[in-house]
Amino acid sequence: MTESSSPKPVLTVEGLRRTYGESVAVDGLSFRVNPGEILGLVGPNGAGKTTTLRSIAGILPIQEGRITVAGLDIDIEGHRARQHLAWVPDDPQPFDSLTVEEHLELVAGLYGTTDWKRRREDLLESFSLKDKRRALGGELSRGMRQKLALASAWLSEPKLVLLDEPLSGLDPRGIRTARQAIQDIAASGVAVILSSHLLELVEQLASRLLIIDYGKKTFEGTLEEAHTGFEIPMGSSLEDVFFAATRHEAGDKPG
Amino acid sequence: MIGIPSKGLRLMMVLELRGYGRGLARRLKTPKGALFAFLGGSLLGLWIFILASDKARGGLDSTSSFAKPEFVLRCAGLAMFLLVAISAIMTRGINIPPGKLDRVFSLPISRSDFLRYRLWCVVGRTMAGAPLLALLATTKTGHPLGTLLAVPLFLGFVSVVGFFCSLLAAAIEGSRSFAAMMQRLRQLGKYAIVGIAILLVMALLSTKLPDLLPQWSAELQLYLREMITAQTLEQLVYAGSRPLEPFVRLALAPGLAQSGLFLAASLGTLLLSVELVSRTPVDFRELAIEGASSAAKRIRSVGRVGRAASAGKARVGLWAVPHLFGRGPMGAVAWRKVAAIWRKSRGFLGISLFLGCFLLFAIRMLFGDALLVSDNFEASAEELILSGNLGGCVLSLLGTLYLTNGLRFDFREDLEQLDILRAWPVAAWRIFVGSLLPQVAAISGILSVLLLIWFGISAATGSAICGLIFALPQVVFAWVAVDNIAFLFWPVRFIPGQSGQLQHIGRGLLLSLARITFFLLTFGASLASAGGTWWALVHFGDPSDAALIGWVVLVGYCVLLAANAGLALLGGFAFSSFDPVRDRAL
Repeated sequence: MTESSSPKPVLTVEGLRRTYGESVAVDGLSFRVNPGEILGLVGPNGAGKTTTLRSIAGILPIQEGRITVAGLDIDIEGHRARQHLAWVPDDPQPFDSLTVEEHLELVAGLYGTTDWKRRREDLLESFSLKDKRRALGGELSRGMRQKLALASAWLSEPKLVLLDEPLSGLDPRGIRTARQAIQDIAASGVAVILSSHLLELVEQLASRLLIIDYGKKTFEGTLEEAHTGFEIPMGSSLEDVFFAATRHEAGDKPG
Repeated sequence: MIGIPSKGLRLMMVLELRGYGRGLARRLKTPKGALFAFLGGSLLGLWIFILASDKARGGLDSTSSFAKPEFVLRCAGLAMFLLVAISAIMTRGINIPPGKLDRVFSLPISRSDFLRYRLWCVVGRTMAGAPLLALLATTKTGHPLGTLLAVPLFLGFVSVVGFFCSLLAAAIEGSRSFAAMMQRLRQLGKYAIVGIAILLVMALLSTKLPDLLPQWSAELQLYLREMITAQTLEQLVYAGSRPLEPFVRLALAPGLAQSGLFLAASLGTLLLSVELVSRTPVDFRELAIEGASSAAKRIRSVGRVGRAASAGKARVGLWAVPHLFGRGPMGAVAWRKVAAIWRKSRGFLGISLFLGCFLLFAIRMLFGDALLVSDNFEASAEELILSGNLGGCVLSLLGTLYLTNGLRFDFREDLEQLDILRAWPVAAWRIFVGSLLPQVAAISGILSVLLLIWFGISAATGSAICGLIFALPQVVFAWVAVDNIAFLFWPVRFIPGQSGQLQHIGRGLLLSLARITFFLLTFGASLASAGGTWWALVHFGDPSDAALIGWVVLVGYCVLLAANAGLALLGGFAFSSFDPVRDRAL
């Protein structure tokens, strides 16, 4: 899917820059995501992926640049913009005094979701959480927490889903369920940003790639375009593209 | 030697102590660390100076039997002894830092030797904080040296007993039949506490509301007053504190010569207790492993939600949590907090209410009708009404301070989930208000019940108590909001047991000053407006008393409301500008 085929992007990021003291985490990043698109966000450790996602989610204040979600500026119309997005962090921490089903009830209340009871049951079923519906957040394993975070995101009926390492901690069955769920939600017209170190997964799911390194965009486009751009043989894997796009040892400055 | 760990473990203790000292020195080298340490040290110095001045003035008046140094010492010792034992039974098991557990358990040492080492770590840590308490105790006793020696030894002994209770409770908890019996007892205990509380409240209110309550409630009050006298209380305290005899005698020894014998007895008691506990035939490894993970979690949560809330385990919610604040986005935010308070802290709420009732009951028993009736001509009816109303104010103030400190279901609890909260599609001020409302409601509710009981046992007027109950939610909100705004602007967590206590005291001093200033400005604005209204009405009009009071209360309340609205907006700003990456412990 290309930008020209979708006139109204769900997300636009323009010149995003974020620093932590002296260190620059994201440096002038710009990109767009269209409805129904799955954007694979990849990069080495410390490249600025999570900072980018947290800035889009409105968690980190914007220092420089502009982000709009569904046409609303995240910095100016914060909570109205957040109504259209769902954020799944890499290590979800559910509230330890709410049960699994109460977490979903909370999300329904916060987002004003209609018909939430039926949808809650469907999600508990599809994410294999039915047996754990009365378990408190603090009692859940890593994988269960991840499933709960995904179910909560799905329940909020977003236009944009931000997934930071969504499959970590899941067992093989959980991975298959989550993978299918991501494909299904994208097929229903929801834009997805998928950040992961599991390059095989990104390759399978993403319709477009955004590779960043040291906070800067090193590539944006489809996998085929990457083959041409980095002059590597057609049919090479995303892993080959990744190494071509981030050609330096850990700790080196980009050349 | 009795009670002393082996050479290898003694070396480990010395090295750990050296490491701790190195950490302290490193903190003092940074300008911020040095500044906060200076402030903390100054505060402690000031406190010691005040204690010394109190001592120079002669301390307590020892003519009353309740103010006798021996009685005060015994009461304090007994209370501490019971508190430590109860809290040890509640927490159970041995607390060993998770990182240390694997290292220590693989060492070639005996079980009892390990326990000795652990006991001395606990005793040493307790005794390190003892000098301040000892200084406080010297203001009440005869010879300072005896007291300065007795207090650390007593605290060490108490920590050994606490350790033993904890070990024993964890060991017998493993027994299924015992667990079932405890479960039944716990349930019965709950009903018994509620029943006793209702009876006591009825007995207390029987004087002021004789027409509403049955005759037997007044008879119950009379019977209790005959039974509970100062003499029986004194006898109970003396009998209960017999096991602490060597320490009490050492603290009260009039001179050096007399101290020697009691010092030997106290030291012997401590060493013997360490040795006996180290020989307890309990396999503690499973308990320690289990305890290490839960303790690590608990210690982390202490920094977030306060001691009272962190002490209880979250219970599986069999009861649905009601949507007390509506079903909109702000209602949902508040609903989450209601669930947290209900599931984690209902015990604390119940105990607080029970303690409050018990305190009022004790006041009623000790003072009799003197709070209500001016038949002895020592106080006029007006003075009694004034003291009753002031008592209500003091009760509200102290209750707010105690409950807000123990029940911290605010943003401290949410630090690890702040990412999630900030991604919610709800205006920041609504998240701020919604997060604090349940805590405010719970505290106001408890204090309202206590104020109603106070109304029953004192000469406080109905209008004053109603006014207080009406104003409580606003005042509590202002206090909690100011506290949270300060926290969101300067988010620092201090976990008890970690190094940097002195810096923490210094930083706490600055933060407390900021909070108090902020709160006084908020509350002062309300009072000033009320005062201004009073002055204007009296000087420019001729209103009736009822109209005057009505206008003053209305204006004061409206200004408090406006100030709270301002605090809500400021809190929203603090929440939205909170940078999660900035949060770090000291």
